[in-house]
Amino acid sequence: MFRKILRITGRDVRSGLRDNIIVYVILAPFLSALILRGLIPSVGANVLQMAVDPSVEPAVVEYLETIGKVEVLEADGEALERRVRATDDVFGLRQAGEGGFEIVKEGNEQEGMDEIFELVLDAYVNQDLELPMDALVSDIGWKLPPLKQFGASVLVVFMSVFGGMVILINLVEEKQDNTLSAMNVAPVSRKAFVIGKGLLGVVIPVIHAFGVLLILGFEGLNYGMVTVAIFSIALISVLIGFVIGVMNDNVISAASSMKVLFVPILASIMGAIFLADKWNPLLYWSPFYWAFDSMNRIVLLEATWGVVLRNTGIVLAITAVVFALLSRRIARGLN
Amino acid sequence: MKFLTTFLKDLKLSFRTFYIYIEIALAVIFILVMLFVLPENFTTEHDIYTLIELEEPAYSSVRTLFDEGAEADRLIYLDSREAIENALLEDREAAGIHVFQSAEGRITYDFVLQGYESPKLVELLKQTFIGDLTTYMPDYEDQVSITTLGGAREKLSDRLTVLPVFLVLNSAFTGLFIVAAYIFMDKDEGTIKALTVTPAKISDYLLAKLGMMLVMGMLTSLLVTVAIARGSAHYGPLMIFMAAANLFGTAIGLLLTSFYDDLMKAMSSIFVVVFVLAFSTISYFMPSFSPLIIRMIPTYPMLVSIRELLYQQPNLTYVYATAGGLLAGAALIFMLALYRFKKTLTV
Repeated sequence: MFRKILRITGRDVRSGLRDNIIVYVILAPFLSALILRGLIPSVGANVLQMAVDPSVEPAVVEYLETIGKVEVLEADGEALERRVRATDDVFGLRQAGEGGFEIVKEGNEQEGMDEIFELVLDAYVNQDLELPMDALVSDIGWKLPPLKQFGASVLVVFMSVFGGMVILINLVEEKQDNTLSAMNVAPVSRKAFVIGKGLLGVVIPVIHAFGVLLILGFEGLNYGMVTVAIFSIALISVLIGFVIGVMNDNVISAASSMKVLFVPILASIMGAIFLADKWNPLLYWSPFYWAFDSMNRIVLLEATWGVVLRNTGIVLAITAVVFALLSRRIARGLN
Repeated sequence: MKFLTTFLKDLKLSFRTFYIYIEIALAVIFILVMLFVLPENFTTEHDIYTLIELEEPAYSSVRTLFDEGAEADRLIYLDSREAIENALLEDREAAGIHVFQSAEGRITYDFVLQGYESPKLVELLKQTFIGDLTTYMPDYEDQVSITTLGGAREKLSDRLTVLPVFLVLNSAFTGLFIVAAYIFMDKDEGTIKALTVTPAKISDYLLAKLGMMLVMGMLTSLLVTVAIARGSAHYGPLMIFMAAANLFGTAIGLLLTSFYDDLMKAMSSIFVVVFVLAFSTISYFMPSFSPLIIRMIPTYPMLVSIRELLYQQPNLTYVYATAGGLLAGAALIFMLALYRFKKTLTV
C-alpha cells in the first residue's frame, strides 16, 4: 500500500512539475520571505520623513537626520510644495525669518506627526534653555521587530493554502480529465488514494514553514514545537484541498472557492493581529486563528508545550468536525 | 451593436452561474462584519506602563501632568521598575515610563522601550519630550509655524479606512480574479469556436467580458460603500474611479489569461500578481513606510484615491489624474491582450 501511496503522490508531483505549478507554489513563500527579510530593516527605521528647502542651514539638517529621513531639495520655492503634495507622508521645512522655521504639510499626513515635528524643532530652537528635568531612553533588550514576528507567523499560516491548492488543483484536473473514475476501478484502495493525494498537502507546508523561519533568520526557536504547530497547519491545508477539490466540478467554482477561502484566512490573521483582545473570541471557530496563535507564541519565545498542544488539539477537533460533516460529500465527490 | 449583444448575453449567463452571487455574498459578509460585529474603531492603542518614584510635591505635579495629558487613558500605573519590565515582556508592543530622582537630585524621565525600535525613533522620542518641556519654560521662544497646503483633514474611522482595501482588492479586481475562469469555461464548452463563425470579432468578445466584470465590480462597490460610508462618500467621482480601476484589473486578468492554455496554470500567475499588488496595503496602513517601489505599484494610488473620496474635501485633481492613468493603462493592456488572443484564442 505504501508504494501505491507514493506512486499517487509522485504522479501529482510530476503533473505539477510539468505545469510549473508546483514550482510556483513551492517558491512563492520563499520569495515572500526573502522580500520580507529585505523590508524588515527599513520598516519603522524612519518614522518622520522631511523634505527641506535649500534655505535651511546644514546644522539643522544634521540635527534632523538624527531623528528621521531628510531629503534636501535643490531648488527653492515651489519645489518644496510639490514634494509635500506627493502621495507619501513627507513634511516640508523652510527657514522663516531669523532662526525660525515654517513646517509645510499637506493635511492628510498621519495624525499627530505635525505636532511631533513642531516639538522637535522647538527643542532645537530652544536648545540653550536650562531644563529642570532629564530624559533618557532604555530598553529591555528585545530585538525582534513586530514586522518580523507577525510576518513570519502570517507567512507560515498563509502558506497552508498553497499545500491545499496543490491537492485541489490535482483533484479538479482529475475530474476534468475523468481520471477519477478510472481510479475507482484501479487496484488502489480509497484510503491509499486519499493519503496519496493528501501527502503533498502535508509535505509542502512543512517545507515552507522551516524554509521561511530559516530565511528570516530566527534564533533559539523550539523546533519541536514548530513541528507540532506545522502539523496542525498541514491538517488545515489537507482539509482545504479536499473540501474544495471534491465539491467543485468546474473551473469557475474551484477558482471562486479559492477566492472565498481568503476571507476566513485573512479575517483570522488580521483579526488576531489588529483586534483588541476582547474581540478575539469572535475568531475561536477558525483553525487559522489557533495555528496563528501557536506560531506567534513560538516566534515570541513564549510558547509552552501546553499551549501548543492545546491549540493543535483545537485545530484537530475543528478539522475532524468539518471532515465528519462533509465525509459523505467527499466520498461522493471522489466517485 | 455586436458588442452590446455579446455583452448582454454574457451578463444574462453570468447571473445564471453562481459566481456573481458569491461576489454579492462576500460583499454582504464584509458589510455585516463591519457594521454589526466590529465597532467603528476596532484597533486599540497600546498601553504605557507607568511608574512615578518621586517625593511630594513633585509626585503630585507629575501625576497631574500625566492625568491631564492626551495619553491619560493608555497609562497603567505600576509600583516597581521590575513590574514595568515584566509587563513589557508580556506585551511586546507596549512601552513604559519610569520617572525618578537621579543621584544629582534631578527629576528624570526614563522611557522604557522593547529594544527593537530604531535609533532614529529613540532620538525622536527623546527630542519630542525635550521640545514639549521647553514650551513650559518662561524663556521659551515659539519660532515654528505650520502651513497647511490642502484643506485640514478629519480623521477617518477604522471602518472607513479599511473600506478602500475591500474596494480595491475585491471590487476593482473582480475581473482580475475570475475573467480567466470565464474564458476557459467558454473554451471548454466550445463557445469560442462557435463565436468564430459568427460576425462578432474577438474584440467584441473580450469587451463583453470587460463589461460583465465592470457590472459585477460596480454592483459590489456600490453596495458596500452605501452600507458602510453612507453619506460621507463622494459617489459620482467614486463610481468613475471604480470603473477605471475595474477596467484596469480586468485588462490585467485578460492579458495574463492570454499566456496560458488552462485555468490552473493561469491561476498560479494571477495569485502571484495579486500578491504583489496587495503589497501596497503595507504602506497604506503604515504611511511612514512608503518607499518609491511600493508607491509605484498601481494599487497604492488606487487606495489613496478612494480614501480621498471619503474625506469631506477630496483632492479631485489627484483622483481624476489617477483614474486617467488607470484608463490609459487599461487601454494599453487590453490592446496587448487582444493582440495575443487574436493569435491564440481559437486554438
